[in-house]
Amino acid sequence: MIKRYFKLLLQLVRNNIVLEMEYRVKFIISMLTSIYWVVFQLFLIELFFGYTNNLFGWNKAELFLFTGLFRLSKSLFDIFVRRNFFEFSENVNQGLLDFILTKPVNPLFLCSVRRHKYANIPDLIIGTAVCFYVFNLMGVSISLATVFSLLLMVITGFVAYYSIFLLIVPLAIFMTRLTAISDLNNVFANMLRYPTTTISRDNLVANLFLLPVAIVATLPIMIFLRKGGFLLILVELILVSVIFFAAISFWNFALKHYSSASS
Amino acid sequence: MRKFFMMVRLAVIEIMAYRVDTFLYLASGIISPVIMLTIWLTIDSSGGRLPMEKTILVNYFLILMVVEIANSAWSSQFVSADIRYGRLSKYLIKPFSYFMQYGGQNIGEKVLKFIYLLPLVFIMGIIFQARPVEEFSVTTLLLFITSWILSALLMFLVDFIMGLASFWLQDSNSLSELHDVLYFIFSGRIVPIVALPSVAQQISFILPFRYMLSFPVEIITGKMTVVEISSGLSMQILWLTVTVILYYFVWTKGLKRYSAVGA
Repeated sequence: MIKRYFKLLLQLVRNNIVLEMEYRVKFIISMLTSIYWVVFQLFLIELFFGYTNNLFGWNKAELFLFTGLFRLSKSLFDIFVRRNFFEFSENVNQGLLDFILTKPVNPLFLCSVRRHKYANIPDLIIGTAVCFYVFNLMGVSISLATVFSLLLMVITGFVAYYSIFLLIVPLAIFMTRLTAISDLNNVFANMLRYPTTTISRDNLVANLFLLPVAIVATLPIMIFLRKGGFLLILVELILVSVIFFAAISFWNFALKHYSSASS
Repeated sequence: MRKFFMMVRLAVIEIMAYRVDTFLYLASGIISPVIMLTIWLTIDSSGGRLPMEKTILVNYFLILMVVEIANSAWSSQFVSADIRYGRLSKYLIKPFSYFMQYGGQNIGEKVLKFIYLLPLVFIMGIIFQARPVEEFSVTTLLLFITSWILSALLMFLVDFIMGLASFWLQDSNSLSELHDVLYFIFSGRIVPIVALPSVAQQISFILPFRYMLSFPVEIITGKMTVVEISSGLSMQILWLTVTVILYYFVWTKGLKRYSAVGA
């Protein structure tokens, strides 16, 4: 079963490479813009630190690391999932979802990773470069353990990011049009650029609002920087799995209510 | 003019069918200024300094939010699609101009956005403890409104011209990506122009992006001198003239090219 899906994924990768190479100029331009956004992000942090020497209780190096790490999780999402989620509402609207449902593959798999966007690959490289630059800056020795925990955090962040979107995307089945999902992604990416630290007790609403940000990026990085302690790892794991399973059940629930465009 | 109001009315009716979508788009427009404001206020409370007084900063981002949503233009992607798929022909035989079609639509969609927006801004005002603009006079108000209208026109025209570029380019998407890149830094959307490094500030005075968004906001919030206001306004008028000429040029040249392809 896993082998079958792995083979399928490989085939999808091959198809997508062929597709992307058809539009080479576009590919190069989006590569350049994705590089630009990271640089812009670092420039903003640099700018803020011209006015202060700590932001949300984080110093400059830590925020750089935050940017680099979040960039890694997000780029995994951007490369493999984003385009599929954006197209989902359109697929429902036009009745194209029928074609996916009738295929002998898990529909969630196909709706998540069918179309890729390799122009975001430089993000992965830049994200990694930023991380190692910061390690160098902070004097962290780069061992196998560091790389391993880095990977673990990136994957946790990716799963969290994916799950949060999966909580929203199936809404398209219940509504006539939900093209704003792509904009919602911008909102989210915007919020995620900065850490939400110390969950303060006095403002519950703000905390609920910021919880997704905390799960995707802040908590993993706090764990990595040993800002939290062991309890934080537990909290993060529980939160991510709760959201992941909630999202999958919502997806299944929504699919049951899908009536195709013609029937 | 009656035709134009008809366009607006049609757009209002259409947008009313997609209320949730509109709300989500609006939310994404609001979130960025709110985050930037929060960051600056955090800098202030953690002992850093601000590029301008706190009350001015709060007003700046709140007014910016309103101006940006009022000015926002998104026609280029539709214009580009119309040209590439040949749908433009359909509009050419209608008894109103193509430009008017999208202009009316733009204004119509904002009617609903503003119904949502005004209470939201009011709530934000309370949350961020906004205080009325100091040294407020009728002259500044008039200058603000004039400059606001100019900026909205400029924003719409620039966007529209980018769409028209599809007469020549296969894919005007990369053009708008390039535009976004520059717009983010030089429009004052993320960081007020005064907070930028001086080189970037000088560049922003020349490029059109500041005159598309932050200049009217600067007029009403900042204590600008007469020279600053008048030179800014002249730059605004200059850029508007340039874009109007460019629009006519691109439209007539492009249309000739288009009919050559279609017929």
